[in-house]
Amino acid sequence: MIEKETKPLEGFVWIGLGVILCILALQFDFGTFHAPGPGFVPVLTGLFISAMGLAMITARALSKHQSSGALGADHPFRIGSWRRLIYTMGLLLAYIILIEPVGFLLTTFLLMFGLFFDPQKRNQAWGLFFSIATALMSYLIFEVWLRCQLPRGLFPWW
Amino acid sequence: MNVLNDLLYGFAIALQPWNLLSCFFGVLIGTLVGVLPGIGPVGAMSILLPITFGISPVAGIIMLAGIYYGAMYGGSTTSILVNIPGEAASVVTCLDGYQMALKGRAGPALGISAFGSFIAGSLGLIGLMVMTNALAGVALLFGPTEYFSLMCLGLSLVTYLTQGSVLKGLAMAGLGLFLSLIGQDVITGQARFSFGLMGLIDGVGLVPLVMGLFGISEVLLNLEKLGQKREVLKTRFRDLFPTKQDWRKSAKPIGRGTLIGFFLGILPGGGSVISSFVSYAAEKRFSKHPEEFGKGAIEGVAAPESANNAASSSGFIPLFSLGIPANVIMALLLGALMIHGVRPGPLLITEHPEIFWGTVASMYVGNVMLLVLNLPLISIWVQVLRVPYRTLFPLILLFCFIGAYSISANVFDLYVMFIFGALGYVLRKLSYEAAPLVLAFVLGPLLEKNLRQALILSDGSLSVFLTRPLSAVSLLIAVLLLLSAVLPFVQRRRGEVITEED
Repeated sequence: MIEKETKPLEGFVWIGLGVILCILALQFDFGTFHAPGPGFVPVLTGLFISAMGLAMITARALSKHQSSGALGADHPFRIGSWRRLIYTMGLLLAYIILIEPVGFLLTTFLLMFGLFFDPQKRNQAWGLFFSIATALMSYLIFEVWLRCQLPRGLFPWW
Repeated sequence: MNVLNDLLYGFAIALQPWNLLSCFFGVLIGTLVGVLPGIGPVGAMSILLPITFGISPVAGIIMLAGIYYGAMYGGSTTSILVNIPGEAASVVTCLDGYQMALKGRAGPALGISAFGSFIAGSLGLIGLMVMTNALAGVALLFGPTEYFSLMCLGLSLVTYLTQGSVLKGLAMAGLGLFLSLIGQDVITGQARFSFGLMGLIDGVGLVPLVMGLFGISEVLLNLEKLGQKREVLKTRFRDLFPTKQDWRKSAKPIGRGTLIGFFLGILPGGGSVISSFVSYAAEKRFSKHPEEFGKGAIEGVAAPESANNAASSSGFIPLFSLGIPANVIMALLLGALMIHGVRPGPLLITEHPEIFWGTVASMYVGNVMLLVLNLPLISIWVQVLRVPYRTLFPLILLFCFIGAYSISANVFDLYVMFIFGALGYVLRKLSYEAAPLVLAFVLGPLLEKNLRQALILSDGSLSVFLTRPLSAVSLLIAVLLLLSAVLPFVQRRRGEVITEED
């Protein structure tokens, strides 16, 4: 069956989210059915989301009842490599923070070098070469050829 | 005669140098992402969406459409040579394609897949021309009431867009709907849910949202399989042409695959994935030697590859005639058209004939280009397959960043993309699919505008949605779709399909 995939708390999370969205939406005029206001559809959407959460809880309870608790959904939320995930996400966040003050070219080179970096290899020359090449090529294609307004940062003359 | 004249007009548009270049670029990128496991047509289209802003709407749509049907062609290469489907529609091609390759018949498998795709894609286009015109005529009778009901029907498609829990799909659609309401109110102009952030006054951008949900989250998921190596079987160009016996065995499967793919492609959420499975199952049933399936039967390659290409043509019918995207790729195309100020729907053919006929004609041109790209250049695609993901993923991430930034030169869009990338990763880990969210996000503003207009016009009467025939029919179909998703028989069938896909 299909609803076995739902985890115990998921339904409650959706109900909570729906309620929060309703509260936020009620700051705007709900209007009437004759003249619906800006809060009309958002409130209905919040209610819909809560209803889905409630349905998940009910469906899970029914499914558990029918199959004596042998739920297929109890395979835990697993992340393959926390280190790699945090490292990559950290690099991406740093790129966003630095791209305007430092500039596209240098930040892109640093991001690429960080992403190409292979801790299992002693020689990082290949990664260094590809990082420089990628940063330069993307600069030439997007800034020079396609005239995208990429941030110049520390190098306003580029 | 009219259709022929219109088609000739379409060719005049499609053969303009810039449009021809867009078509070539689209099918080239499509083949590339089809060949490369780890990035699909949705990811590639979302990454390249910003490029279309700098070109005409026709060239942009031609390019994006090219990526879609190009990926259908390219996806078979990895299925046959590596036993890894390049994209979801080629999953079933692995079953017999790889077995043929192991027996030294990779060439005919690749050949019949390319020829079958070409034939089915071309035939599917004839159906697209005829049916879009007919449906658009009916849709001209639509007002806000009918449009609202049609949008509800569109949203009910999430039940078929999701492969897992229907409730999860609906919850994601609700979230997408709410996200689409951020920004200025469509009627009063009042800013909603912007929390004082300038970047949110115009709402959440489609491009950073899609790039985050599909591009960034896909990369983060694939990083977990970074060490895996692929073994690629060898093939030569002169081995690619199927023998007379291969053609004899494949002719009927190609025909049946085309028909099945075409009709399933029109249906909500049907698309290329389901059509390839259904056509494979049908061929196995029709075959006098079903025991050969799964052991290298050429019919098992010809039928699904034809079906997924026919489906990729017919998937455009609901979008061009009614303005309803039948799948997430069509939702992206809808978003791209709307960004260009073009509203797909019944008036598209009359108001923007260059977009409809230009795109249709470009698909004929694109199918020929794909045949050339996929047969003589197969050795290049095989080389591409050897590029490790460690080299590929930094480039995908960089394209995402440049794409999101270049829309409005605003770092805020990068933060939006980053947040949706992280959210998409967590949601996908919890078996939530991004497609319903994107579908609802695209349809949300239209749904709200038409609902409020319909209520104002009817003086607040909800019965108007049931008393107007076209609206009532749309709502009835929507309710039936939702009900069908919770009926035990349908649940069982969906469960079987999902198990087969796994």
